[in-house]
This record gives sequence, structure tokens and C-alpha cells, in this order.
Amino acid sequence: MITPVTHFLPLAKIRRQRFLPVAGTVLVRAGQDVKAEDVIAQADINPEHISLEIKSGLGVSKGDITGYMKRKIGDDIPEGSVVASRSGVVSRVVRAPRAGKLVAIGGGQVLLQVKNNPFELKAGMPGSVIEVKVDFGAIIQTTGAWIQGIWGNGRLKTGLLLALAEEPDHVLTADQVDPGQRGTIILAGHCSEQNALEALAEAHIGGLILGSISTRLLPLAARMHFPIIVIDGFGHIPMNAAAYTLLSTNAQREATVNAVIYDRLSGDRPEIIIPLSGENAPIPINLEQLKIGHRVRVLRAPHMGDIGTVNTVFPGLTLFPNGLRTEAAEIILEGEEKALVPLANIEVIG
Amino acid sequence: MTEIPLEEIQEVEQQEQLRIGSLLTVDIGSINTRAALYDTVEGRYRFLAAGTSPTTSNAPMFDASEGVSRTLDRLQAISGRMLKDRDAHLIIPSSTDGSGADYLATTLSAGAPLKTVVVGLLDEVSLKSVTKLANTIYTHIIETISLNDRRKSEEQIDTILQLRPEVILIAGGTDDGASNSVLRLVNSVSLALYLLPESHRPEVLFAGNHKLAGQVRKSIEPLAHLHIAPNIRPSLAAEQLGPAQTIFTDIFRRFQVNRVMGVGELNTLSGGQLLPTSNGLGRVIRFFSKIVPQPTTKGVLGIDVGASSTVVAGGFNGDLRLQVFTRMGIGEGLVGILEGSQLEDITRWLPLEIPPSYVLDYIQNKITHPTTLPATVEDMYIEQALAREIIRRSVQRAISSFPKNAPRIGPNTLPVFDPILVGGGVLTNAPSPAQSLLIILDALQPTGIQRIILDKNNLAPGLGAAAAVTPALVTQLLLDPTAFVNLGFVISPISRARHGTAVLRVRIQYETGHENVINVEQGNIHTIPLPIGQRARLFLDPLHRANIGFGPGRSSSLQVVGGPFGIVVDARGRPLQLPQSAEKRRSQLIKWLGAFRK
Repeated sequence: MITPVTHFLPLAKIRRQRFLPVAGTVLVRAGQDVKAEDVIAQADINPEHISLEIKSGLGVSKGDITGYMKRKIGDDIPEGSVVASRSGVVSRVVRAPRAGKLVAIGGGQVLLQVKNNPFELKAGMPGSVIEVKVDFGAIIQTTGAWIQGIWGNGRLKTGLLLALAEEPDHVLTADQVDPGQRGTIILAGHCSEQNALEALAEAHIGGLILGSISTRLLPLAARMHFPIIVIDGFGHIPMNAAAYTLLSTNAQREATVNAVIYDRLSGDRPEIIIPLSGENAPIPINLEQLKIGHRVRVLRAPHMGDIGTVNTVFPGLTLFPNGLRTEAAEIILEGEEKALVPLANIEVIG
Repeated sequence: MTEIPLEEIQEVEQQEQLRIGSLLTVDIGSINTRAALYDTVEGRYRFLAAGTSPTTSNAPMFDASEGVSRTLDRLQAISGRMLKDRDAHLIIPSSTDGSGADYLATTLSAGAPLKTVVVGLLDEVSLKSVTKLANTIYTHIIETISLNDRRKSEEQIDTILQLRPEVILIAGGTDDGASNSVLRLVNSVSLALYLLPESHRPEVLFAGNHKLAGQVRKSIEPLAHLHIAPNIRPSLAAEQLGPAQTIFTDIFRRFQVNRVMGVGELNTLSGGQLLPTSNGLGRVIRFFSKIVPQPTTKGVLGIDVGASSTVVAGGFNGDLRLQVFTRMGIGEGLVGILEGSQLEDITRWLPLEIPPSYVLDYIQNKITHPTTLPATVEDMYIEQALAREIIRRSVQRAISSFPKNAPRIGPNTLPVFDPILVGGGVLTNAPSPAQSLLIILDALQPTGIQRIILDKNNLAPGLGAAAAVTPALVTQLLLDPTAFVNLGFVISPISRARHGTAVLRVRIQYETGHENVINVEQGNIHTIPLPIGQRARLFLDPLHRANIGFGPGRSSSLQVVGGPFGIVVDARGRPLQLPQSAEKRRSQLIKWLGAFRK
């Protein structure tokens, strides 16, 4: 069975394509070093328009308005200036109520683009620009430790990694938070308390990495202004040993927490990158043919979040105690316990 | 009443010439890719084998053809028939040495749903109909615009610019009706199209006042790919989605062929007729609804619970009402449950005490890892409870699209359907057929008499896709016990009698001549012994004015065929009332499940 790989790598060559959804302006050049929060490209994605009723404004009932226009498509129009006018016994004008650019004329009205909140595309990770795609963005590369998550709240931040969790089964509480943690990326185990998240927000931390979180806290976590990444799942699950070891041994290093929202279709996942130098950092492999000896993570109960090694892949279908009949493997967990697990419930890590 | 067994319909169909010899169907779902092989044996179509593999259209492979190839490898191994040549290409049509298949039918539900904006005039008329049109395929309606919209036209334009839809569906105005209002809406759409970068302009389907077609063309055709369909609301009283649905299906096909790598070749080998999976199921249901005995007295219902979406297809004497609910499924589609259901709607179906927080966490974990399976007893029960809620909510929403005169036995009950065809992994992979059947009965609460058929190999969509070539496939295979599992006849009387009161007397006359009489009590599920495949005649006498579909207290008799549980009588009442006390409720659920073990 071919299985995607989830990465908990101590050192890897990490490459990211960062492209705008529509054509815009690229602000970096090949060879340039960037930080995670640097804007590397921008585009007009969310314009705001106002429409001016020229016909009714000029008191014209028939015919084309082109003859009355004092401006053309593409013109920048200051606030208050004349857009169209009609002379005669009673002259009339239509003025721009706000500054803007004239973008369309038709149906007796004109459309002004008055506001432009350009969409800013950030680098998302520290590194070097190795290639620019004109009008769209860049490919950025770095080497370092790489940890993938399964849930993120869409925020991005870089800061010093601070391990509050002394073990994978750590539980985050409000009394563990103090103002000295300002700007840091907190490594914790599990969070199920609303006031713990609120305390972190008050302390203005840089970001939060959790092994697991209670589902009922997700709406609050989504609103937090600092990035939050969940590594293993929902409910009280200890952080998996591979991720915990990797993160805790890199405490006090700078870490970028890019808590993008997990998209199975595109493969976008929340991730933590800790830049490290390494001459021959390996390029991660994203797919593996499952085989004996592979290190895997269990995705569902029982043994959810546990790491183990594939000992046997059974042929055909295996009957589970609950009546489920499916392809299965025997995994040796890190405490030497053996577990029978559906193939659908494991993923290779590496 | 004399019931003509469905099996006898086959006598008619056998006279039809079998137009193709062998058939291969491929369905690319969001989680699994399935293939099935059929051939003619002694003048009839037979299901030979099926294979499944994970779908590979998503990250990291981004190519559906890999999953298709693996699925075909499995099918080859199971069937012993070569389906691919030495260059790993599919052999269509079949070769003289018997390898390959004569015909390929492909269905697809994988890939992102189409981001769709629906535009209509009045909320309760054209907007409602165009929304129904959008919901016949895998779409995500990201915005609705109508005359009742309080936003200014520039705000509507800005919304379209921000959301960047892939399709815009426009309806409005009966054929001799409103025009200026419709054209104002079209004008806003047209301005938005003008302002969008050319590469991001959506396809537009106009299915409104046909007299405006010329002006709509003038406004939109220079800017975007425009399709014109007959008005979906030609008059206030009439709704016709069919022609627009056909064009919309073409749009879907074109999008997904371009967007989902690996699908193009399959579409070509399928004669350019790749169908959305939902449409394949819909065709089977529509076809069946025309040929069942007494098609004006009952419909045919099809339900497919997928990972991302649920399809509900109601067929009423050839009139298909199809709805796809894209944020309603047992995997990623559970977001719809989180958004719209109360936790109690799910936990009330748990026969074990499980903390609600565990159920909530289960749902979120399943959304994150939709390919995973329930490996514990608790998780299995949660999954099945979720399936009940998904089916219940989907059918409730679909009912508004069913004909208002669809036959019903009681007020606020499901229209009468026979048969009911159900599919989807959560049903077909249930540890026992009893659990599958109970999920359906609990969720749908059908009334009257019907057969429940389980599509255990997910064959219906592919058969629907191939039915255009040879309709005999559907009739011959739907009743093939190797292809579909007949969960049996279910009789669900409606009665106001008190719990424990006898509401139905059933006299069963076996083929041996032996008879048995059973009194069925209100509040219970009963199974009447009848071995699988054996026929018998049932004489049904409702008591205390119970109604089994012929009027309160009116008797009937019918020919039946035994299923895995014989004949099932679900006398639990409608609507189903669960005990308020959690402990009593759990005990009752276990008792009902136990009724199938007798």
C-alpha cells in the first residue's frame, strides 16, 4: 500500500512554492534571503468599488453616456472631481464622492475602484529565494528541522522555541503562563482549558505548538492572534514521541510556526521549521510503499498518536474484535507492546 | 392487492438484446477508487468481481490514474482477467483473447466541489430552483445573489471578485415574465466578469426567462464561456431542471477532466461520458422508478453516504429529484454535522455510555483523517450514530425537492418508497447486515412496505453511467444477489396504539404450504422467519386502525422473498420516540439490535 508520509525530520532540505492566486507584483529577487514574515509578493484580490449613476445623475433618459464622460477607463480620479457633465439650460455634473480609478463604463453607470487592500503573500518560512516566477511569486529554500501538524489557525510567526512541556503528556494550564514568555513559541502537550489560551494571549506569546487540543476549544483557538499548531489530534493525546523529541531538543532555537489550514486536496499543512545548517540535508520523500520496518504513527483509537514499527503486514482482510474486516498490520509500539491496527489507520513518519 | 414481484420484470428485460458483452466501471471517490467487472453469462449480465484502492487524486500524488491502476491490478487478480496491456493501458474494447472489456463507464466524485455562485430573482422561486440545480452535482455554493439582496450592485460585484467562483448559475423570470430585474442582475455579473482576470473568469449558465437569452449573450459571451439552458422556471407552477442539469453535468465534466489529473484518459475511453457519481446513482433510481410495479403509488429512493458528501435520489415514476449535500459525509463532510447538528442528535443513538467530549473529538479527528476506520467498539457505534444523523438531515433537506403529491401514508412521514437502495462505506462495511439495516430504519423511518437493498460493492453509479448504452444492466444486476444484498422486506405500520398493543397480524404462507401467524406489537421490531431467497405469501391484517399503506385498518397480501432476517416488521412507531433516560435509551437500542439475532 502506498502511503503519504508525515514528516518529523531533524534535518531536511525544505523547498516551498509561494505563489499568488492571481497575477500581481513580486517583491523579491533570486538569491535574496527572506524571513518568514517578509512580504514577497502582492496582488489586488479584494478591491472595493462604488458605482456612479451617470444617467440619472445627469438627468439623461436615453442614449449612450459616453458623450458626457470627462474621464476614461484607467484614469485616477481625485475625490470631488468631475466624472461626467451635461451642459445646457440646466447643466449638471456627476462628481467622484471618493478618490478612485475608473475601471468600467456601461449600463448608464460607471464603476470606480476606490480601495485596494492588496493581498500580501508572505514567505512563510525563513530561507533563500532560489527562483522567481514573474508576476506570481517565488520558490524559497532552507535547511532545518521540519515538523508537520494536522491543524492550524492560519497565523504565522517566528520566535524562540520555549519548551513548557517536560514530557509528551504535559497539560497546559493558565498558571504556567507568565509575561516573560512574550514573543516566544511555546511547546506544550495538551490543552483543554479556555483560560490557558486566554492567558497566553494576554502574555503576547509568539505562537503555540500542541500535541493535542480539545475540540470544543477550536473556535477560540481559531480566533487567537498568535499561530497555534496541533501535531497529533483532538482529545487528550500525548504528543507523539518523534515530534516531542525533535521539538524539545531544539528548545531555545528560533522556530517559525506557519499554522496554515490543513488542505488534503492541495497538501498544504501547518508546519514548524527550525533553520539549521546542514551540508547534505536530505530531500524529504512524500510517499512510501508500506513495508516491514517502517516507522509509523497510529491515527485512531486504540493507540492513537503512538509511534511504532511495522512488524507484519497481513494478507487479505483481518477481523477486528468490533467486527470490522479490513487490511491490517501488526505494529510494535515504542513500549514493545504489539498492536493490531488497520492499514487505513497508520501513516508512515519520516 | 396482488404484488408483482420485481423479479418478474426481468422476464420483460430478457427480451431486450444485450447491446454490449462486457462492462468495466470505475468510480473515483474522494477516499477510494473502485472498479467492477461484468460480463454476459448465458444471455444475462452477471457481476464478476470488484476491486478497491485508495484514491490518489489528492496530495501528494495529484494523479488519479495511479489509484485507478492499482484498483485495476486488484480487479485483475480477483477476476483472473487481464484488463491492462503490456504498456499498462486499459484494454477497451475487449480483445479477441477475452482480455479487457467492451465498454468503460466512469464516474467521479473526487476533486474539489465546484465553487458556485447562484443568482436568482425571487428567493422562493428562481433562487430556490437554481440552488436545487446547483445541488444536483458536487458544488460548494459560496454566494447567493437575488432581488431580495439588500446589497448594492457594486457590493455584489466585489463579492464575486473576492470569491472567484468557478461557475455562476443564473435564473430568473418566467418565460413571459420579469426582464428588467433579471437584466440588472446579469449586468452586475457581467461587470464582475469584466473586472476578473481572464484566467479566473467562471463559466456561466443562464437558465432564466428564455426571451432574454439574446441580451444575456450580448452581455456575457464576450467575457466568459456562456451556456444557455431552457428556463428552469418557465412558469411559477412549473420547474424543469433536467435540460439545465445536463448542461451543468457537461460543465462539471470539463472542469474535473482539466483539474483532476489522470481523469482525462478515462473520460476519453468512456466516450466522453464521464459522469458525476451522483448522476450515475440518479439514473439508476430514475430508471427503476419507471419500471417498478404501480409506479404512481410509490417512489424509489437511493442514498449514498460518502466521505465528503451524501447523495439523495428520489425517483417518482420517471421524475428524478436528485440532491447532493457536499458538506455532509462520514469523513471531511462531518463539518456539516459540526455546523448544523446538536451533539444529542448523535449521542442519542449510542448503545454505550460514551462521553460527549469523546464524540466531539472523534468527529474532528475523522474530519482530519477521513480515510481512517473505526477499530474499537465505541468508535464503530459513534460512526454508525453519525451515519444516522447524516442520512436523517440529508433526506430532510431533500424532501423539499420531492413532488408535493408524492404518496405518503401519514403526515410528516417519508414518502412511500419501494425499493430503497443504500450505499456508502459506513453502511457496506458495517460488521453485520443487521447494523446496516438498523441504521437505515432509524435514520429514514420508512412507512408501509419496502425492500431495502444494500449496494455493498458500490456498483449503482457505474451501472447508471452504463445504462444509457444498455438499460438491461440495471434490471438484471440490481436483483443479482452477488451484486447487491437484499436486506429484506420491511413492513412499517403507522399506529397510535399504546406500546405493547398488537397492531398487525401477519399470516405467512410458505411454499411448502405450512402457515404461521404472528401478532406484532407496537414498540418492537419483529423478524418473521423466511430463509434467504425463499418465497412466501404474506397476509397482513392491521389492527386498531394501523396503516401499512392501504388506509387505516385495511388489509393486504403480497408475495415476498426472504432476506438475511426473513421478513422484518418495524412497529416502533413513527416518528420514532427514544426514551428520555439515557440508561433506558441505551437498553432499548440494544434490544432493537438484538431483534435481528433471533
